[in-house]
Amino acid sequence: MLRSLQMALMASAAVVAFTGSGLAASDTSQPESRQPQASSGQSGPSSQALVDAAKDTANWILPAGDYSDNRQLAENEISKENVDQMKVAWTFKIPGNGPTETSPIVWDGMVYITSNRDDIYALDAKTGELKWKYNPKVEQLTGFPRNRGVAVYDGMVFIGMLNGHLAALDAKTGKVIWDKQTVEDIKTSFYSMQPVPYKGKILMGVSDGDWGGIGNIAAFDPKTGNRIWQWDAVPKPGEPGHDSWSGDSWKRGGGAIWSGVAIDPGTDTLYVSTGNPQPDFLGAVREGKNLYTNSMVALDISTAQPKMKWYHQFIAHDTHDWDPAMPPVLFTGTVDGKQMKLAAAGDKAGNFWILNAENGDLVSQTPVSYQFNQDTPPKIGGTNYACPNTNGGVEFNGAAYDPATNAFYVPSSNQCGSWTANKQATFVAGQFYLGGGFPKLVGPNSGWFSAIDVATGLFNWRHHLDLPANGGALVMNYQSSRRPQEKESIVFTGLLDGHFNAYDANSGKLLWQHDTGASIIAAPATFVEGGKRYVLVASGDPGFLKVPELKVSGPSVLTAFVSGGQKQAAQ
Amino acid sequence: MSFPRAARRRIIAAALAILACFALTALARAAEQTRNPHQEAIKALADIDAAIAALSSASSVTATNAEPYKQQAQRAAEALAGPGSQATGGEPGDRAGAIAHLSWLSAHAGESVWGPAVQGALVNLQVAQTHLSDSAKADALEEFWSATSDALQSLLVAAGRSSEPGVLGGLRGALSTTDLGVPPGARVMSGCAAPDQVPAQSQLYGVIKGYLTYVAVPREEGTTRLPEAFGVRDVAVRGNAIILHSAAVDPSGKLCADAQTAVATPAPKDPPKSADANSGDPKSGDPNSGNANSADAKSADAASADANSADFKSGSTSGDVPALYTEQQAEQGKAVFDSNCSSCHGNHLQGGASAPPIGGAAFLRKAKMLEWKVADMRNMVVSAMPANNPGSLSPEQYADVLAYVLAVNCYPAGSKPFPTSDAPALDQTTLHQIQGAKGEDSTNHTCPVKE
Repeated sequence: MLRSLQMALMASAAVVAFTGSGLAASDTSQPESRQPQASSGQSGPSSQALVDAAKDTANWILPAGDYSDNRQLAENEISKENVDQMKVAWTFKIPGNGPTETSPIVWDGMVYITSNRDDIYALDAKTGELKWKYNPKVEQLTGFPRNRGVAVYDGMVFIGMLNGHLAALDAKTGKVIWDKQTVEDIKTSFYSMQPVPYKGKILMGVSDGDWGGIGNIAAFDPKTGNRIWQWDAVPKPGEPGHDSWSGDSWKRGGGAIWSGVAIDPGTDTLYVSTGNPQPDFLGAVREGKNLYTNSMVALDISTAQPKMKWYHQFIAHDTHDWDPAMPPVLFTGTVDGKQMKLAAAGDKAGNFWILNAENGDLVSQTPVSYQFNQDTPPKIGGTNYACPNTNGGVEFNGAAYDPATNAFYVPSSNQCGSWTANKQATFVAGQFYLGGGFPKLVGPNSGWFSAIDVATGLFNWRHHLDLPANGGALVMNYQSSRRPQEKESIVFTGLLDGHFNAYDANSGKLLWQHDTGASIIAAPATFVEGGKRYVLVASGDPGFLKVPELKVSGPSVLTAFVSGGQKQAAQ
Repeated sequence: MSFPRAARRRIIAAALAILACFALTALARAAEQTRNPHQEAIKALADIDAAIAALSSASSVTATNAEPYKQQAQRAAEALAGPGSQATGGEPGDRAGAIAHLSWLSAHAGESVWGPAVQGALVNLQVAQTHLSDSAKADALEEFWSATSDALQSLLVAAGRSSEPGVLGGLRGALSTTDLGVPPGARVMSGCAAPDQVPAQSQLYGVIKGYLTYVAVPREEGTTRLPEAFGVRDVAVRGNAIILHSAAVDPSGKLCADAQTAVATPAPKDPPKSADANSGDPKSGDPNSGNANSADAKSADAASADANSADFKSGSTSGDVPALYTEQQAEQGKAVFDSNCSSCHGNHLQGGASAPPIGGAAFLRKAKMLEWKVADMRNMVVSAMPANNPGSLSPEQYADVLAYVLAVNCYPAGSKPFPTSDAPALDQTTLHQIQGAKGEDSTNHTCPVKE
């Protein structure tokens, strides 16, 4: 029924395409300009389906499930009592074994994941059987090989690649529809972020903030790859904030857009966090606050060009590469007994931030890792110590919020480093533009998994972990129709030692765990197939978190767990 | 006449106490005589580790009152200063405390190469002590964590890393790279000459000028226990010996080379090869053994490269690419590369898990797309390489290794040496594939360089 309705909508959209070829690409209707594939009976997800993603708990069509970017959902199958009956439904060995950061997308019975070298694998959600693959074998001129996953929209799969290209593929067959270089400067830029479709555009941030570029987020036409708008993280001469850079330092100022975004579809507000300024470790050549690096920015994207509503800079004039790596999370939480629209962020300096989403004002700041000597810049020609290390604090998967407990569940890393700055920073195309060296690890390297009370910014509970934690949290509220008053939640997270754990969100008690055999630095996802709830997580090489304490090194694998408990009757 | 029973008991107690005093003094004297720097350092490290463990376990406490946190801070403080009279059960480390061990070591350091590291560790422990007393006074969790983080940091620096020789390596570095790591009674050899025979179930310690460059163990069935804090940088196998090199293997290379010059062992045109502690063996009278040593650090393919090297010179005339270096520089540069670069970039510049290829067709294609000049490559190498210690090579070594990279990429040699500072010619020469160089490996487009 639903499917035939979508077919009908698609047909009417095709008429619009023929009669209105001059329509703006930002039009929220979905004209179907390409020839539908013969085998494809499916055109979605549509823009509306994406806006409504939070209500669709059977699919997982955005990086964290929906536009709030909060990896959380209500469901009625996995409870505290039966979570220990979860078992492995299937696994898929991801060829290549590179650092595994892919965040799965699930749509219409298919799971889409990526390798660190931009291979796409489309799997049957029920069996894990490979349906199609895409092995682009791209040549990367700058950066490091990482990919955080694909987007699905309008029957297409979108990927940003290491060579600075965006590509669109047929979601059913994997056939390339278009493939286009969309970064401005291939000598400084590549893509690693997971693209985000929004109201007829593909939003994509560029990874160029440690190689001498200026970060930006841009919107592209999903049918052509043409750029519709772009917002630069570093203001040009004459623009507000430009005077926060000394001399010409802004020209290679950094502020890459690495991580995901949160969007409020009601107001068309895009929440995005920007990366560190550069040269990363030599602040002397870029005096000033270096706006808008290391900031959360709220952009009004309802108009032709984005307009900044507010910004909140977490660390001004950063000299340690301590950017807010965690994607922003938009949520309604309770502070001082009042419900507020809030936005959360986490940075690599080990801070967890909660802001007022309306105006960017600080609500709370909680340290979530060891912090030491943070105000001393790396010594030029010498060495000094500071914590966390560049890969410490809160990393790129980050935390999830549970409305039932009014708490945030935050994985974080305790690492310290010895830092060195050079006398000068020299730009060489394709190379790191650091003005120093990446810090050496000063052990021990460990982690925390914390529950932070949004009302106070204090810990409800905290687990000490033997290894850094970068797995990302997934919160499930179990909705019992028999006991509707009782609220219980489970929070899942993957650990560097390969375990995928489920905790009681209230008490922090470990309820269930499974050893996936390799480090988890990727975010979990969940979907329903054949009436059963599944939870997905990828594991493999831990990339930059390859700390000396780490013992596991299994192959890259995607594991699908399926609930073992009986689904509760609807009434 | 007899003492009342109570008085008698008192006298016996007093006599026992006096005896005990003698016994304790004697024990203490015996202990003083047998106190040994290595054991003191091991004990200090155990105490520091106990303090770190106490603070780490505080982070898993989820109590709402401050006491359990402060107990852990107290335990850490006791591990440093020795348990006080109020010590509760389960004292970490030993009774003396890390500071007492290190103070003794510091007083007995003399001219030892580990002196600065021990002194540094001692200062860091004193800093940690101050922070620990702050954390014991903290009345908010934030404050506690702030002070504890500071203490932990100083403790970590004091404990140090086995991979880091010198003062920054802390206690672990000193134990791993200096003769502080040699246990009492161990057999000590020259740190420049690793043995190829080790008696069964024994260990040989290689020391040169106070630096511990290797521990050699026999190749035999079973488990060999190493000194607690020894960190292995790399492992070589020779004869029946397994040679575990410490991180001091680099400075010792220089030390050995100095020793070599001092005894005037002929060093044919090659300058001292720095990294391999064995390459400049001053004691080896056996020419075969010398050859075996120098071959050690290099790839097995070096010999085949030699065989082709005669062709190399004639290839240099190809095209209009300027000659930017001398052949001798490239040869010297190979030694620099093998010592400092090949562990990441591979023996053939082919790249590895942590570093890209810097020789051959794929590298040159990428360099062309990035529009690299030779000057860019020089900037990059001089400012950022070796990645684990940028700027650590001399200007001459940088020039040599850049000459070597150009040579492998089939750039022609000439009579003018590669400059030790930036020069206009470098900015005018792009990196790209050179056509028609003789001796070129046609599959990977690299050219051989003589040893």
